[in-house]
Amino acid sequence: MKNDKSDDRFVFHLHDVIRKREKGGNLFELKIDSFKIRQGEFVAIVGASGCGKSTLLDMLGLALKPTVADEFSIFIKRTNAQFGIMDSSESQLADIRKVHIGYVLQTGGLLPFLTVKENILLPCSINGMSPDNHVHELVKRLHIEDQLDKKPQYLSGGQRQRVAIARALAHRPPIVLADEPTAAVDKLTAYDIIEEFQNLTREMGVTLLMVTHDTNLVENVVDRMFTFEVHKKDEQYTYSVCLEKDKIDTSDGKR
Amino acid sequence: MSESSKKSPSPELTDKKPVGRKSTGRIVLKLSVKDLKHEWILTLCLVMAISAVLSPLLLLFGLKYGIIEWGRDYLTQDPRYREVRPLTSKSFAKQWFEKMEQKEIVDFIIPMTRQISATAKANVKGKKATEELNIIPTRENDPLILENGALIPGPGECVLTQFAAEALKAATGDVLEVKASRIKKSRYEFGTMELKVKGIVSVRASELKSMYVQLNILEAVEKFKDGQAVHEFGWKGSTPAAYPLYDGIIIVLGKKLSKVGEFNLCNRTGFTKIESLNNKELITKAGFGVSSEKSIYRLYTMRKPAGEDSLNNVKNKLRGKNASLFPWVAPVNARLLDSSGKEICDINLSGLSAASEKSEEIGLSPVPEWGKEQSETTQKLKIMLPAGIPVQDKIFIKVSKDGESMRFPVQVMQKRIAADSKTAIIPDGLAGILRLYQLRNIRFDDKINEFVLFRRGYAGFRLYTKSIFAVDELRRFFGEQSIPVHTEIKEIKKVIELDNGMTLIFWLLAIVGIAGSVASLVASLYASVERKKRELSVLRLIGLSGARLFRFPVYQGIIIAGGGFMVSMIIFSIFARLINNMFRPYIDKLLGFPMEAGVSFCRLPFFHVSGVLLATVIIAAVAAMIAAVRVTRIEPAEALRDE
Repeated sequence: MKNDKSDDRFVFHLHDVIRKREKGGNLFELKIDSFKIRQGEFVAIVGASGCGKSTLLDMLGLALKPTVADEFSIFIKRTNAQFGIMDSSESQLADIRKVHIGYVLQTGGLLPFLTVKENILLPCSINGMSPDNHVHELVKRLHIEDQLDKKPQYLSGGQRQRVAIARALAHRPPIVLADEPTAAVDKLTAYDIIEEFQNLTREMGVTLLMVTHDTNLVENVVDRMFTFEVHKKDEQYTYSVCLEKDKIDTSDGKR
Repeated sequence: MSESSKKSPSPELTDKKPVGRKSTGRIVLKLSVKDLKHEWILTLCLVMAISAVLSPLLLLFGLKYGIIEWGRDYLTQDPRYREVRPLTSKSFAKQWFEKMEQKEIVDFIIPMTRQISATAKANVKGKKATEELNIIPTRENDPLILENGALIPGPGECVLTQFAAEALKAATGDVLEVKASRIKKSRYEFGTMELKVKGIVSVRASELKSMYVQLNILEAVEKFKDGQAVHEFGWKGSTPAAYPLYDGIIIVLGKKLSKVGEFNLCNRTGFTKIESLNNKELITKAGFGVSSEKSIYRLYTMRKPAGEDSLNNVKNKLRGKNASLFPWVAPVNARLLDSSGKEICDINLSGLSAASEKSEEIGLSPVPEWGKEQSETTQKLKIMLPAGIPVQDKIFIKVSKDGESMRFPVQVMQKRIAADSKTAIIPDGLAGILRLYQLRNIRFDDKINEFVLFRRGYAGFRLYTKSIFAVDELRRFFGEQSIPVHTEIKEIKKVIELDNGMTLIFWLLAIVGIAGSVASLVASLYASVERKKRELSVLRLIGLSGARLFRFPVYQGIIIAGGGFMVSMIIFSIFARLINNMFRPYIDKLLGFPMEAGVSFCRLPFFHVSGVLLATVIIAAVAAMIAAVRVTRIEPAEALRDE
């Protein structure tokens, strides 16, 4: 698990990963030949629904294990530690999630019974961290200072997503995963949110992986993009291959 | 709803509060409480749903352990059903009663006398109403009295049945004048005493006009009716004095008897065997010796010891033969005590007749100091001890049989016998009484200085088994001993059937109630966890796993179940109090006396309360746990993107 030469290591390193899913007699297979992400990159995973992008995100978020994987590892620079997802236990994965990954979900994924403040501080409390100026700063930057004592149900969709972003970054994780973070807000707000999100993650040096179906929204801000090629063999068997969209030239991983 | 609105906004975020890693457990607890508060209406609904099924169940159990159990005991423990009554009069010895008392299934047994001698007239002091009452003995632990609303009477007290009290217009605390009567020479004689009414038993105990008293009062009445004196109540009459019995007779003659003469002595004299003795044998057998020229015979009986009439028969047959006769009793083992009751030694006692003009002629040794006149008992209370036993002139003799003993004073004679003698000598009359003691009950009454015979046994008994379930066993036991008895076996069968029926109904109700409660508890919590699917998935995603994640629904389950239980307990205590207050007067009226203060109609022992709480909490926790496992087993992808 321990690492030697560090900077060149990929945050995510996937090679020949397959995830099979059977539903109602139909087999769906997601294949990822090569998926390598460096620290600090902003990567979008785009595709139509049913292509497997959420499945990929769940695997990257350590909530789902691949069926087969030649290589599927996460490297945490801060602790200089590398984990192979295949041979980590559920509680080890939960620990990695807790400490090193932040999540922004479609509709925020906020806990309805906690106030905005409690929601934002939840990752800190779970990690046993005391909140510091950083959180204060996040709240200010995301313009949600006035919402702190409200329950999420009283917020607009945009505010909710901002709170979700604050929560995802509160405990300073090196990786943030976002699943259609702007699906529930209007286009204009969406652009604002994406921009703020991108600025924050870049300043913090956070690796941001974002799933979206809207290429336009992200094409100007991301470093790289991955997409899917769906092959429908017959009624019962579909497979999808995840490929890097080479339209954007970021093959060396540098901006 | 927003309990943290009082806090000021952003500065709080920068507070540097050290939060330990171990506190994640507390965080999960806080989160679960906050969630319950957030959805307080739903939480209240769940709590109410659980208390709605738990409350009737608690009340059902409360009634079971209150009035149902009490009623069951009242019915199955009714002394009337537990009684085993002898159908015929017999003589039951004291030892028999002791043995019966030790039987595991016997709760209470007390001797009864012949019914005919067990009545007396009674009236309340100062009132006219007089009634002939049955006298029934009682003592501590008598269930008939205790379970029918009265206390056991002490000396000088009595307990009346309801009907007796009505007839006499008596109440607790009144003093009764009780009069036993007998006819002597066509004149009535009365023995009276005063008894205080200690209590009145309800009709359930007996429908007769009876009084319950201590056994010695009944025995006194019986003795008085038999014409005897009862000194403790100052009632005059005769005394049944003890009489001597002998095992045989020593005959000392100048010459030998013919075979015919020997046979003649065994023929219809009360004695059946005769043997010739030499002087040495005489000393061993009887403790005294005679001149060796004399012919000595021992006439004796193998069966029942003989009385004074047998001695007279022999005396008559030997008239004119110049025979000396010594009534003989096989040596009696006794213990000598000094005047303070301290033990001196054990010794055998042999009887020896008074000295006469012939004593010297036949060479009697030792010659006793007592005279022929022995009609008064005090004249018999003498002893000649072997020299060497240091004693005062007044000592006690203690004789024993079957675990009991009798003690009486004797006067030590100046004259001693040979120190090597293993036998002390007492007057033959006293030896005869000690022989009787081995067969009958004798007491030395030191008020009248007399050995008094007392009863051989009791005609009957009043017996209660420990429970109605033991009655049949005891009936069979008496059957084997040929003691015909009456039992309430038919009634008992009905009671047992009723009890079984009630128990069955209770458990059917209880099972339905318990099953309903469990189902409702499981369903409520399962549904509540199912609704928390999204929250659980979010918590899981941000790093709570396994046991820590499951704590969330489990804590909620426990809080909801605990809340439901608390509400149920409040409802239970209100209704239990209501039931207790409403029904007590009704039951008191039914019983005819106030129910014991400790009895509650609806009550739950602490053990059961905690049992129900524990079961509720465990079921809730397990149900929440299973639901949580099932809910989180589905892929997070589905849980998170279900809308």
